[in-house]
Amino acid sequence: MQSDLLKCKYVVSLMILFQIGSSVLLGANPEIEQDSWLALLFSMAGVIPIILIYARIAELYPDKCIYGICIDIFGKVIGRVMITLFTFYSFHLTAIVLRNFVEFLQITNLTETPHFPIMIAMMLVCIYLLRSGIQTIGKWGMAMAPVVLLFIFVTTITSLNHLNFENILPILDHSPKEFLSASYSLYTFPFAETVLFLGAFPLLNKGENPYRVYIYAILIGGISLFIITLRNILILGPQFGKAQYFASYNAARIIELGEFFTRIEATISINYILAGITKITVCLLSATKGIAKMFSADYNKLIIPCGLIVLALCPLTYENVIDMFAALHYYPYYVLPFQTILPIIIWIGAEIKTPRKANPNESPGNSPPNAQAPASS
Amino acid sequence: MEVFAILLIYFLVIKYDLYPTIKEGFKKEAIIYSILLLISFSMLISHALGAKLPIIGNYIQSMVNYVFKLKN
Repeated sequence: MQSDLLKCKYVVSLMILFQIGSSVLLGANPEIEQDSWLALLFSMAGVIPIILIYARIAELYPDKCIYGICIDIFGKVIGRVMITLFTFYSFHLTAIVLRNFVEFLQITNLTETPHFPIMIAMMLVCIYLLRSGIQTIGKWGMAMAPVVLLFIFVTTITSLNHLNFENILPILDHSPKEFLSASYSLYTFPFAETVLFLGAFPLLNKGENPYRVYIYAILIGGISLFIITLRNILILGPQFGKAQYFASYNAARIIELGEFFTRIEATISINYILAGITKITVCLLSATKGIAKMFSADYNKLIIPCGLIVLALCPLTYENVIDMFAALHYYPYYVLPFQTILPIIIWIGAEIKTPRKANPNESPGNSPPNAQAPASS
Repeated sequence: MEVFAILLIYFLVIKYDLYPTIKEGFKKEAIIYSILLLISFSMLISHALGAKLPIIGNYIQSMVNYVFKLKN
């Protein structure tokens, strides 16, 4: 039987792939055109407080996922309501990410293939990964993160002769309101989506530091996205980049070295799919654990039906690809409760409950029955 | 074609995953499993047969527009 606890480096790799996942596909917010790279840096700084909250929750309850924490802090009734909300978000995000990749593959490579076979093919891989155990997912992340990062590095290096540095001018041409709105969009997608890691894993082995995991992952993932965004702007230009549905893919189509190193976009799309599979797997794991916790069941037995629920939800997420990109406008408002409000409530609850648990002089009658000492930071 | 694919998938899932789960004695898991299978099957098959199911994105967009008074 595999342990549910992952090593620090595995979680960091998974988080990097999770962030790169669909955001590299859809591109960083193109609404503010040449300033999107600055908005990305701003959102990276802005996400630090909330990821410190996520890390603190993981630190206070090192051996529990967020569903167990909800029950512990808020009791069975309110805890289950919170679990329902998180589980719904996990299912919906899984379906959204799967749909993103299905649309991408259909538009770029498999133009005559219907959605359904592509959905099944991707979902089968994710279910297989999940059924193989959490350690396998961690090792998959550890193996794939260097590959994905290497491809980002190689495509950036090979595109150097196509970069036009005038494309980022004028800098800060947009109003502060537009800039902040774009930064908030990037905060919600992809950085704060890492809240699902609290649902997927009881984050770490004891003695490892969740703050370090989150900070490293946000830094490496954020810098990779920053490089991709800047590269896309410099290659495509702000107007052309805004007009493209899959800007990174189209930027990769332009890249060529002499006459022998051309058409690398096929390799790039495989690279995106590797990251996408990781993101879908983590989201599906979080959704499955939510369902299992809600009914106090074993999550291993529920992976396939949850995968089938995602398959059923996927066609219902959007009408078409135009709707899919239009959804990026309202997505930041929709995810506010799941990514920010609920974790803050859980964190406050955890902080109130934990000192009472930790105090050995307190009378036993006042402490909760499943008392547990907090891990040292 | 899509309908046959769905029927085949559910046949395989029931034969090779749900049935062993019941046989191993995971009663609660088997009940939840069956309910989830029924829900997903009814959604998938009605979609494959051409039924107009509600698009979740539209509902969320309406809800966000209503709460945050966003401009369309």
